[in-house]
Amino acid sequence: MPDHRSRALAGPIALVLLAAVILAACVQSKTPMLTGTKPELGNLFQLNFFENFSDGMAATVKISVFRWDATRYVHVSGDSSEVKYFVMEPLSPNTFLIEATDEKVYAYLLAVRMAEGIYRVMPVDETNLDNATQARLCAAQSSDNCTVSTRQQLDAFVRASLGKTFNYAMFAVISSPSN
Amino acid sequence: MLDHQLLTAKAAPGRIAVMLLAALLLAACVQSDKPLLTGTKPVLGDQFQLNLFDDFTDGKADTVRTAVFRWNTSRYVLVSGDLLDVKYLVAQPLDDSNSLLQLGNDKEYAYLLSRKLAEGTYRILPVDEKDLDAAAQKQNCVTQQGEICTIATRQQLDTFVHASLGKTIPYTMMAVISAVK
Repeated sequence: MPDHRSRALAGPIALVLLAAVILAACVQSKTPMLTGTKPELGNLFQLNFFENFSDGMAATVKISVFRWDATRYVHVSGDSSEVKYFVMEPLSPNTFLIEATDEKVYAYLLAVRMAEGIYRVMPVDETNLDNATQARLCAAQSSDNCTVSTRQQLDAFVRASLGKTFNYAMFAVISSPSN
Repeated sequence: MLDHQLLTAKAAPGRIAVMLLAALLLAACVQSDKPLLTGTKPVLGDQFQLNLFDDFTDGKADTVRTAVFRWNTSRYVLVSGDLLDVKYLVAQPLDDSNSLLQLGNDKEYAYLLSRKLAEGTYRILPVDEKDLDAAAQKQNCVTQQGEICTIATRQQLDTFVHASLGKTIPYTMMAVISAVK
Protein backbone atom coordinates (compact mmCIF):
# COMPACT_ATOMS: atom_id res chain seq x y z
CA MET A 1 0.00 0.00 0.00
CA PRO A 2 1.29 3.48 -0.72
CA ASP A 3 2.34 5.58 2.20
CA HIS A 4 0.21 8.67 1.77
CA ARG A 5 1.93 10.39 4.66
CA SER A 6 5.24 10.62 2.85
CA ARG A 7 5.72 13.71 0.75
CA ALA A 8 8.98 13.35 -1.10
CA LEU A 9 10.64 16.40 -2.58
CA ALA A 10 10.88 16.32 -6.33
CA GLY A 11 14.32 15.22 -7.49
CA PRO A 12 16.41 17.43 -9.76
CA ILE A 13 15.59 15.45 -12.87
CA ALA A 14 11.89 15.62 -12.19
CA LEU A 15 12.18 19.33 -11.59
CA VAL A 16 14.08 19.79 -14.81
CA LEU A 17 11.57 17.74 -16.74
CA LEU A 18 8.77 19.54 -15.00
CA ALA A 19 10.26 22.87 -15.97
CA ALA A 20 10.55 21.54 -19.47
CA VAL A 21 6.93 20.58 -19.68
CA ILE A 22 5.84 23.64 -17.77
CA LEU A 23 2.45 23.06 -16.19
CA ALA A 24 2.35 19.32 -16.53
CA ALA A 25 2.67 17.02 -13.59
CA CYS A 26 5.28 14.28 -13.57
CA VAL A 27 5.27 10.67 -12.56
CA GLN A 28 8.52 9.51 -11.01
CA SER A 29 9.94 6.71 -8.91
CA LYS A 30 12.91 6.18 -6.63
CA THR A 31 13.87 2.85 -8.14
CA PRO A 32 13.86 1.72 -11.77
CA MET A 33 10.63 0.14 -12.94
CA LEU A 34 11.55 -0.88 -16.47
CA THR A 35 13.53 -4.08 -16.88
CA GLY A 36 14.81 -6.07 -19.80
CA THR A 37 14.95 -3.10 -22.12
CA LYS A 38 16.90 -3.18 -25.36
CA PRO A 39 18.98 -0.64 -27.29
CA GLU A 40 16.06 0.56 -29.39
CA LEU A 41 18.09 3.47 -30.75
CA GLY A 42 21.24 1.53 -31.55
CA ASN A 43 24.47 1.45 -29.59
CA LEU A 44 25.41 5.10 -29.94
CA PHE A 45 23.40 8.13 -30.98
CA GLN A 46 23.06 11.86 -30.72
CA LEU A 47 19.89 13.19 -29.16
CA ASN A 48 18.80 16.51 -30.65
CA PHE A 49 16.15 17.79 -28.29
CA PHE A 50 13.89 20.73 -29.16
CA GLU A 51 11.42 22.30 -26.77
CA ASN A 52 9.87 25.49 -25.50
CA PHE A 53 8.31 26.28 -28.86
CA SER A 54 6.83 29.71 -29.38
CA ASP A 55 6.12 31.66 -32.55
CA GLY A 56 6.89 28.55 -34.57
CA MET A 57 10.39 27.89 -33.30
CA ALA A 58 12.10 26.08 -30.47
CA ALA A 59 13.62 28.44 -27.91
CA THR A 60 15.60 25.59 -26.38
CA VAL A 61 17.82 23.12 -28.19
CA LYS A 62 19.83 20.53 -26.27
CA ILE A 63 22.25 18.16 -27.91
CA SER A 64 23.69 15.15 -26.13
CA VAL A 65 25.24 11.79 -26.92
CA PHE A 66 24.24 8.49 -25.32
CA ARG A 67 25.83 5.06 -25.50
CA TRP A 68 24.28 1.69 -24.69
CA ASP A 69 26.01 0.03 -21.79
CA ALA A 70 24.72 -3.52 -21.23
CA THR A 71 21.35 -2.55 -19.75
CA ARG A 72 20.79 1.15 -20.35
CA TYR A 73 21.80 4.22 -22.29
CA VAL A 74 24.54 6.18 -20.54
CA HIS A 75 25.07 9.90 -21.05
CA VAL A 76 28.40 10.46 -22.79
CA SER A 77 28.47 14.18 -23.52
CA GLY A 78 26.37 17.28 -24.05
CA ASP A 79 23.42 18.84 -22.27
CA SER A 80 20.91 16.19 -21.26
CA SER A 81 18.95 18.09 -18.59
CA GLU A 82 20.76 16.14 -15.86
CA VAL A 83 19.73 12.81 -17.34
CA LYS A 84 22.57 10.34 -16.77
CA TYR A 85 20.83 7.18 -17.89
CA PHE A 86 17.68 6.22 -19.68
CA VAL A 87 15.93 3.20 -21.10
CA MET A 88 12.96 2.90 -23.40
CA GLU A 89 10.36 0.19 -23.74
CA PRO A 90 8.14 -0.23 -26.81
CA LEU A 91 4.43 -0.03 -25.98
CA SER A 92 3.38 -0.27 -29.61
CA PRO A 93 5.25 0.04 -32.91
CA ASN A 94 5.28 3.83 -32.61
CA THR A 95 5.00 4.53 -28.90
CA PHE A 96 7.67 4.10 -26.25
CA LEU A 97 7.83 4.49 -22.50
CA ILE A 98 11.01 6.24 -21.39
CA GLU A 99 12.59 6.02 -17.95
CA ALA A 100 15.16 8.76 -17.46
CA THR A 101 17.25 9.18 -14.35
CA ASP A 102 19.94 11.18 -12.65
CA GLU A 103 20.48 8.15 -10.36
CA LYS A 104 18.34 9.76 -7.68
CA VAL A 105 14.95 9.93 -9.29
CA TYR A 106 13.48 8.06 -12.26
CA ALA A 107 11.11 10.12 -14.38
CA TYR A 108 8.70 8.76 -16.98
CA LEU A 109 7.96 10.08 -20.42
CA LEU A 110 6.22 8.87 -23.56
CA ALA A 111 7.82 9.11 -26.99
CA VAL A 112 5.62 8.89 -30.07
CA ARG A 113 7.43 8.23 -33.33
CA MET A 114 6.28 10.71 -35.99
CA ALA A 115 8.69 9.54 -38.68
CA GLU A 116 11.92 7.58 -38.76
CA GLY A 117 14.15 9.05 -36.05
CA ILE A 118 11.65 11.75 -35.03
CA TYR A 119 9.77 11.52 -31.75
CA ARG A 120 7.30 13.70 -29.96
CA VAL A 121 8.03 13.49 -26.25
CA MET A 122 5.36 13.94 -23.60
CA PRO A 123 5.22 13.41 -19.88
CA VAL A 124 3.44 10.59 -18.18
CA ASP A 125 1.06 13.05 -16.58
CA GLU A 126 -0.48 12.26 -13.23
CA THR A 127 -3.38 14.64 -13.90
CA ASN A 128 -4.67 12.29 -16.57
CA LEU A 129 -6.18 10.36 -13.68
CA ASP A 130 -8.67 11.83 -11.25
CA ASN A 131 -7.64 13.01 -7.80
CA ALA A 132 -8.92 9.95 -5.99
CA THR A 133 -7.02 7.61 -8.30
CA GLN A 134 -3.90 9.73 -8.00
CA ALA A 135 -4.14 9.55 -4.22
CA ARG A 136 -4.53 5.79 -4.42
CA LEU A 137 -1.67 5.19 -6.84
CA CYS A 138 0.92 7.73 -5.77
CA ALA A 139 3.15 6.52 -2.96
CA ALA A 140 4.00 10.16 -2.45
CA GLN A 141 2.51 13.21 -4.07
CA SER A 142 3.47 16.86 -4.15
CA SER A 143 1.79 19.61 -6.09
CA ASP A 144 3.87 18.86 -9.15
CA ASN A 145 4.71 15.20 -9.11
CA CYS A 146 3.61 11.76 -8.16
CA THR A 147 6.04 9.15 -6.92
CA VAL A 148 5.08 5.59 -7.77
CA SER A 149 6.63 2.49 -6.27
CA THR A 150 5.34 -0.34 -8.45
CA ARG A 151 5.18 -1.08 -12.14
CA GLN A 152 1.44 -1.54 -11.79
CA GLN A 153 1.05 2.01 -10.51
CA LEU A 154 3.25 3.30 -13.32
CA ASP A 155 1.25 1.40 -15.92
CA ALA A 156 -1.99 2.91 -14.69
CA PHE A 157 -0.61 6.41 -15.31
CA VAL A 158 0.92 5.36 -18.63
CA ARG A 159 -2.40 3.97 -19.88
CA ALA A 160 -4.13 7.17 -18.84
CA SER A 161 -1.58 9.30 -20.69
CA LEU A 162 -1.46 7.28 -23.91
CA GLY A 163 -3.14 9.01 -26.80
CA LYS A 164 -3.61 12.22 -24.86
CA THR A 165 -2.57 15.44 -26.49
CA PHE A 166 -0.40 17.80 -24.63
CA ASN A 167 -0.23 21.54 -24.97
CA TYR A 168 3.55 21.72 -25.06
CA ALA A 169 5.83 20.40 -27.75
CA MET A 170 9.06 18.54 -27.17
CA PHE A 171 10.73 16.80 -30.08
CA ALA A 172 13.67 14.46 -30.17
CA VAL A 173 15.52 13.86 -33.40
CA ILE A 174 17.97 10.97 -33.33
CA SER A 175 21.14 11.31 -35.37
CA SER A 176 24.55 9.77 -35.67
CA PRO A 177 26.98 11.55 -33.32
CA SER A 178 28.70 14.44 -35.05
CA ASN A 179 32.47 14.38 -34.97
CA MET B 1 2.60 29.20 -73.87
CA LEU B 2 5.89 27.41 -73.64
CA ASP B 3 8.67 28.31 -75.95
CA HIS B 4 9.33 24.84 -77.27
CA GLN B 5 12.55 25.97 -78.85
CA LEU B 6 13.86 26.20 -75.33
CA LEU B 7 13.25 22.50 -74.91
CA THR B 8 16.24 21.85 -77.07
CA ALA B 9 18.52 23.83 -74.78
CA LYS B 10 20.59 21.61 -72.53
CA ALA B 11 21.56 23.58 -69.48
CA ALA B 12 23.70 21.76 -66.97
CA PRO B 13 21.96 21.17 -63.66
CA GLY B 14 23.19 23.52 -60.94
CA ARG B 15 24.89 22.58 -57.71
CA ILE B 16 21.88 23.04 -55.49
CA ALA B 17 19.75 20.77 -57.59
CA VAL B 18 22.46 18.15 -57.79
CA MET B 19 23.04 18.22 -54.05
CA LEU B 20 19.36 18.20 -53.25
CA LEU B 21 19.01 15.32 -55.61
CA ALA B 22 21.75 13.49 -53.76
CA ALA B 23 20.11 14.38 -50.47
CA LEU B 24 16.77 13.09 -51.61
CA LEU B 25 18.30 10.03 -53.19
CA LEU B 26 16.19 8.78 -56.04
CA ALA B 27 13.75 11.64 -56.20
CA ALA B 28 13.76 14.04 -59.10
CA CYS B 29 14.07 17.79 -58.72
CA VAL B 30 12.45 20.86 -60.23
CA GLN B 31 14.58 23.98 -60.53
CA SER B 32 14.64 27.33 -62.27
CA ASP B 33 17.27 29.82 -63.31
CA LYS B 34 15.45 32.75 -61.73
CA PRO B 35 13.19 33.05 -58.68
CA LEU B 36 9.55 32.28 -59.37
CA LEU B 37 8.03 33.02 -55.97
CA THR B 38 7.18 36.67 -55.39
CA GLY B 39 5.56 38.61 -52.59
CA THR B 40 6.64 36.15 -49.95
CA LYS B 41 6.62 37.12 -46.27
CA PRO B 42 8.86 36.31 -43.30
CA VAL B 43 6.67 33.41 -42.24
CA LEU B 44 9.43 32.06 -39.98
CA GLY B 45 10.10 35.36 -38.20
CA ASP B 46 12.94 37.80 -38.70
CA GLN B 47 15.62 35.20 -38.15
CA PHE B 48 15.81 31.53 -37.31
CA GLN B 49 18.09 28.54 -37.15
CA LEU B 50 17.27 25.74 -39.54
CA ASN B 51 18.16 22.30 -38.20
CA LEU B 52 18.00 19.89 -41.11
CA PHE B 53 18.15 16.14 -40.62
CA ASP B 54 18.34 13.67 -43.46
CA ASP B 55 19.82 10.45 -44.72
CA PHE B 56 18.01 8.42 -42.05
CA THR B 57 19.13 4.83 -41.67
CA ASP B 58 18.41 2.46 -38.81
CA GLY B 59 16.27 5.11 -37.15
CA LYS B 60 18.79 7.91 -37.08
CA ALA B 61 19.88 10.78 -39.29
CA ASP B 62 23.34 10.38 -40.72
CA THR B 63 23.43 13.99 -41.84
CA VAL B 64 22.69 17.01 -39.67
CA ARG B 65 23.03 20.53 -41.02
CA THR B 66 22.40 23.78 -39.23
CA ALA B 67 22.14 27.19 -40.83
CA VAL B 68 20.98 30.61 -39.69
CA PHE B 69 18.81 32.73 -41.95
CA ARG B 70 17.75 36.36 -41.56
CA TRP B 71 14.95 38.14 -43.40
CA ASN B 72 16.20 40.88 -45.69
CA THR B 73 13.41 42.82 -47.38
CA SER B 74 12.13 40.10 -49.67
CA ARG B 75 13.83 36.84 -48.71
CA TYR B 76 15.72 34.96 -46.04
CA VAL B 77 19.47 35.31 -46.49
CA LEU B 78 21.97 32.78 -45.18
CA VAL B 79 23.90 34.30 -42.28
CA SER B 80 25.94 31.32 -41.16
CA GLY B 81 26.16 27.58 -41.47
CA ASP B 82 26.09 25.24 -44.39
CA LEU B 83 23.04 24.33 -46.40
CA LEU B 84 24.00 22.73 -49.69
CA ASP B 85 25.19 25.95 -51.32
CA VAL B 86 21.88 27.66 -50.57
CA LYS B 87 22.12 31.42 -50.00
CA TYR B 88 18.49 32.45 -50.11
CA LEU B 89 15.24 30.93 -49.01
CA VAL B 90 11.60 31.92 -49.24
CA ALA B 91 8.50 30.02 -48.14
CA GLN B 92 5.02 30.44 -49.47
CA PRO B 93 2.12 28.84 -47.58
CA LEU B 94 -0.07 26.65 -49.80
CA ASP B 95 -2.53 25.72 -47.07
CA ASP B 96 -2.53 25.31 -43.28
CA SER B 97 0.03 22.51 -43.35
CA ASN B 98 1.98 22.77 -46.58
CA SER B 99 4.38 25.39 -47.85
CA LEU B 100 6.34 25.74 -51.05
CA LEU B 101 10.03 26.46 -50.51
CA GLN B 102 12.35 28.13 -52.96
CA LEU B 103 16.01 27.64 -52.11
CA GLY B 104 18.56 29.38 -54.24
CA ASN B 105 21.78 31.18 -54.84
CA ASP B 106 22.61 33.64 -57.56
CA LYS B 107 22.48 31.00 -60.28
CA GLU B 108 19.67 28.59 -59.58
CA TYR B 109 16.59 27.99 -57.50
CA ALA B 110 15.30 24.61 -56.37
CA TYR B 111 11.81 23.82 -55.12
CA LEU B 112 10.72 21.77 -52.14
CA LEU B 113 7.56 21.22 -50.17
CA SER B 114 7.41 21.41 -46.39
CA ARG B 115 4.68 19.64 -44.49
CA LYS B 116 4.11 20.85 -40.96
CA LEU B 117 4.09 17.99 -38.45
CA ALA B 118 3.88 20.20 -35.40
CA GLU B 119 4.90 23.69 -34.38
CA GLY B 120 8.35 24.36 -35.83
CA THR B 121 8.73 20.80 -37.12
CA TYR B 122 8.47 20.01 -40.83
CA ARG B 123 8.90 17.11 -43.18
CA ILE B 124 10.66 18.24 -46.33
CA LEU B 125 9.73 16.67 -49.64
CA PRO B 126 10.84 17.38 -53.17
CA VAL B 127 8.74 18.92 -55.87
CA ASP B 128 9.25 15.81 -57.91
CA GLU B 129 9.08 15.98 -61.69
CA LYS B 130 8.22 12.29 -61.75
CA ASP B 131 4.86 12.99 -60.18
CA LEU B 132 3.83 13.99 -63.71
CA ASP B 133 3.91 11.57 -66.61
CA ALA B 134 6.64 11.77 -69.22
CA ALA B 135 4.52 13.76 -71.66
CA ALA B 136 3.57 16.34 -69.05
CA GLN B 137 7.18 16.57 -67.93
CA LYS B 138 8.24 17.25 -71.49
CA GLN B 139 5.55 19.86 -71.83
CA ASN B 140 6.43 21.69 -68.62
CA CYS B 141 10.20 21.37 -68.41
CA VAL B 142 12.17 23.92 -70.40
CA THR B 143 15.10 21.56 -70.13
CA GLN B 144 15.34 18.10 -68.69
CA GLN B 145 18.61 16.53 -67.78
CA GLY B 146 18.85 13.32 -65.87
CA GLU B 147 16.61 13.67 -62.83
CA ILE B 148 16.42 17.45 -63.00
CA CYS B 149 13.72 19.48 -64.71
CA THR B 150 14.32 23.18 -65.28
CA ILE B 151 11.24 25.34 -65.50
CA ALA B 152 10.81 28.98 -66.44
CA THR B 153 7.35 30.06 -65.30
CA ARG B 154 5.27 30.00 -62.17
CA GLN B 155 2.60 28.15 -64.08
CA GLN B 156 5.00 25.33 -64.85
CA LEU B 157 6.08 25.27 -61.22
CA ASP B 158 2.48 25.13 -60.00
CA THR B 159 1.77 22.19 -62.28
CA PHE B 160 4.55 20.19 -60.62
CA VAL B 161 3.60 21.43 -57.15
CA HIS B 162 0.00 20.30 -57.58
CA ALA B 163 1.21 16.91 -58.72
CA SER B 164 3.59 16.50 -55.77
CA LEU B 165 1.29 17.73 -52.99
CA GLY B 166 0.23 14.89 -50.74
CA LYS B 167 2.75 12.47 -52.22
CA THR B 168 5.29 10.75 -50.04
CA ILE B 169 8.72 9.43 -50.91
CA PRO B 170 10.59 6.64 -49.13
CA TYR B 171 13.12 9.08 -47.79
CA THR B 172 12.95 11.30 -44.72
CA MET B 173 14.22 14.84 -44.51
CA MET B 174 13.17 16.77 -41.45
CA ALA B 175 13.56 20.41 -40.52
CA VAL B 176 13.19 21.83 -37.04
CA ILE B 177 13.16 25.58 -36.63
CA SER B 178 14.82 27.03 -33.55
CA ALA B 179 15.66 30.44 -32.19
CA VAL B 180 19.10 31.86 -32.97
CA LYS B 181 21.41 31.74 -29.96
